[in-house]
Amino acid sequence: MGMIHCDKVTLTYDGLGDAVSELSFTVEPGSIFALVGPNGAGKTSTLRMLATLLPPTSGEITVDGYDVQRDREEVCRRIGFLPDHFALYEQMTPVELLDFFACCHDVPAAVRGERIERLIDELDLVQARSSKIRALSRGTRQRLGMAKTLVHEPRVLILDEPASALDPDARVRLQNTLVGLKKRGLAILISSHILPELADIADAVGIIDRGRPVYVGPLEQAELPDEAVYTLEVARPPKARPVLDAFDDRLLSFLEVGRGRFELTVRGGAETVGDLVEKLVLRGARVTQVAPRASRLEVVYQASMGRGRQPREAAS
Amino acid sequence: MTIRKAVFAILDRRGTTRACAAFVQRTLGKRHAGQLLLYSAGIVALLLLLASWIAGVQRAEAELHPYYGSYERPELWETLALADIFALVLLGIGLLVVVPAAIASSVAGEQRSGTLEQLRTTPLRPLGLLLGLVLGAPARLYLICVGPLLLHLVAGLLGGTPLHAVLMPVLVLAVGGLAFGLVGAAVGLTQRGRGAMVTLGLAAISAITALWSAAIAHSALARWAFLHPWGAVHAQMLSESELYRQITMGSYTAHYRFTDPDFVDALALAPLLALVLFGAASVVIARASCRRLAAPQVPLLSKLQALMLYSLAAAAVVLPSLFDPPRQWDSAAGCAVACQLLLLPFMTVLAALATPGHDLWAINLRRMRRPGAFSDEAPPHLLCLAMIGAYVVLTVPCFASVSGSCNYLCHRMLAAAALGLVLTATLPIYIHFGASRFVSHRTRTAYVFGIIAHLGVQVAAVLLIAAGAIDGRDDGALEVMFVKLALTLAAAVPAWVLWRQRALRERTLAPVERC
Repeated sequence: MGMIHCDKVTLTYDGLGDAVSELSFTVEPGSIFALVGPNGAGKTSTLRMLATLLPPTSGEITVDGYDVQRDREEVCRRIGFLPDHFALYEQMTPVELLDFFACCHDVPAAVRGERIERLIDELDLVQARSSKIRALSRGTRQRLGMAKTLVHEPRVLILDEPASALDPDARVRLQNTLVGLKKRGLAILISSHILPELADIADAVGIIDRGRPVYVGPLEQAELPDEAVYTLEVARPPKARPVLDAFDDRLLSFLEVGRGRFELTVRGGAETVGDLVEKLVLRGARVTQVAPRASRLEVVYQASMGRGRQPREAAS
Repeated sequence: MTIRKAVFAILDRRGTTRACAAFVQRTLGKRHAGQLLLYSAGIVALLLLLASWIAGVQRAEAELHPYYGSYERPELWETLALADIFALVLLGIGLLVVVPAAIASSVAGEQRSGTLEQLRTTPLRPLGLLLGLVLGAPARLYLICVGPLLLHLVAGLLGGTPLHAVLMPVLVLAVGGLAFGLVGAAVGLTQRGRGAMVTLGLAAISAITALWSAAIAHSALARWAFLHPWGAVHAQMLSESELYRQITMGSYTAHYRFTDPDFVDALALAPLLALVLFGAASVVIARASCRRLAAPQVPLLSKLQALMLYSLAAAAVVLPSLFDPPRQWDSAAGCAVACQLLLLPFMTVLAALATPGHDLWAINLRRMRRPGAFSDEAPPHLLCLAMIGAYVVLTVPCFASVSGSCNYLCHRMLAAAALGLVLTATLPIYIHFGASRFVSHRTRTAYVFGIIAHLGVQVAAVLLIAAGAIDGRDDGALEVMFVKLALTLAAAVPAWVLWRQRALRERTLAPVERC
């Protein structure tokens, strides 16, 4: 059993529809699990159930073997939860806030100071350490929220849209932090709308739509659609066009979106692209870049959402 | 060091010390504690100065007017004794009015901003969290109270007051303050907005009931002084301090009142009864708040907790009358009607706090489950019947020493009591509909005011019947017409609400039936 284990979890708010329906997944220690889905899919409800804030209507959720409802205290010792829109005590300074939450989490006084200093360094809060929280920017507050979540050294991190308020630099730093935490053995569960960023770090994905799981599993094992869109850049476009025109039927279509920049819809994935690039090189088109237009996670997401919606839409 | 750790471990078995320490540290910081203690010392100095000035003026007045009255004793005007009274009044205002309001405001604020939810994801147990909010969050106010508290202790001990008499008001204020603080926390937990109105309301109710209980401690109703902690403190001070008697009752009245042994006994008993009442209430309210902190989706009170609190209140209101039981049927029935009307708002509030909201009720209904009568999902009907039963059981001893036959006075009192019971029995219908139908604050407020107006008409009718205002009047008399209108409404309004409840039930079930 993994660090987080959800087994057929269902949640209903009004007894009519299920906010989450029969959701099952496992998050292993030292891995990142991305929970993605459109608005209202049930991501936040799932995370709140994991954080002991909502009781599941049915099913079982365990964290490190402890049931989230029966062993709430043990679960809370192991998790760090950062909600989407979280509040902080505005009149405190970051150091006071971290000290308060460390105290609530029973962090021994002997290590508290050292740990707070380390988090302030790691999350780039040095300049804000003595300012009142009400004076901090949104990005700094988000980093402070992250520090608060980590102050008791949890074994499980549950993050709801952690990068929503961060600038590009801060997002990269957050990614690095998460990868570092993953290497330390933490099980991390992230819900986010920013799929390309998750794609770089996620080991497994849970795609949910209208409360129902559409795909749950490792990204590598996800079944990709046969057709894919690639971006191709060449230095000599006039030499590339005849090659593209003459290529076999695995190249379904191509569109020149800029000078020397093509969007190719191909069947057969990387193998087809390899053959095509070989021919372009032989004809002297000088290929400067070729890459899939969407990340693997995006492709899996779009494919899963398409598959997940079709039968229900057809039925309706 | 090992012993210290062991003691701390025993104290902190439920994480309460840790939580309180964290909250105190959060509220005070390290720099503010000394500053607040200085303020507190400043308040003490001001109290001493004020007391010294007033005592001096009063003594001078007595020397100028020796004919002031044979019962006046100018030598009672001592600075320290007067400062002690001021200190206790200040402690009472602080612990019974300001602190509960501050707690309600703080808890409502935490709930609104979402920080309470974050605290719920820490390993703090609900009891630790609750005590942290009640004892730790208003730490500044408690620190300001330190000076007046020390002044009371020093003044009492230097003035030769027995130790128990010095400590009892402090104990009553501590237990009463805890109970009121827990009420503040519980009220805060039910708020979704800022809770400013509720905070002010709580402070106003506490202050008004404090004044009322202090007033009845002077009167023949002194047996009921313990219904508010300030009433009990007031009774204790009347018993022990002659200066306090002279200030609050006047020397002449005090002299005659204290010749009545029943009055003296009632005053002596009030602090003990207050300790029992508010101690027990604190336990129940703390458990209810812990339950709510652990599961915010359930009603604040479980049905059993509501019944226990009502029984406590009913016992506190009804049982003191047994010290001097009514001898006649009409006075016993009158006593029953008065107690019933006094308990009516309390019963309404408790039943409302134990009633499920729309979501909980609808989920249960749509799952076609039949909830247990005392489960959280159940409507409050059986709870209200149990409350009425508890009230009736407690009232029976009032009739034990009644002799003679039931005269016409008695008949109208019994009629009033019967109408009162009918009115009480219809309460759960209104409460259940209000909780399950109106989700928005505005519509619910409008409904509550409508029902309060309806209940006001019913109560007025009960009072008219009890007072004999309709005896022997013709059908055209205004009082008779009013009572007839009230009786018609007593049947029509519950019937209409029941019909609407049925429609709501069908509407709630319709999507399930369609599926």
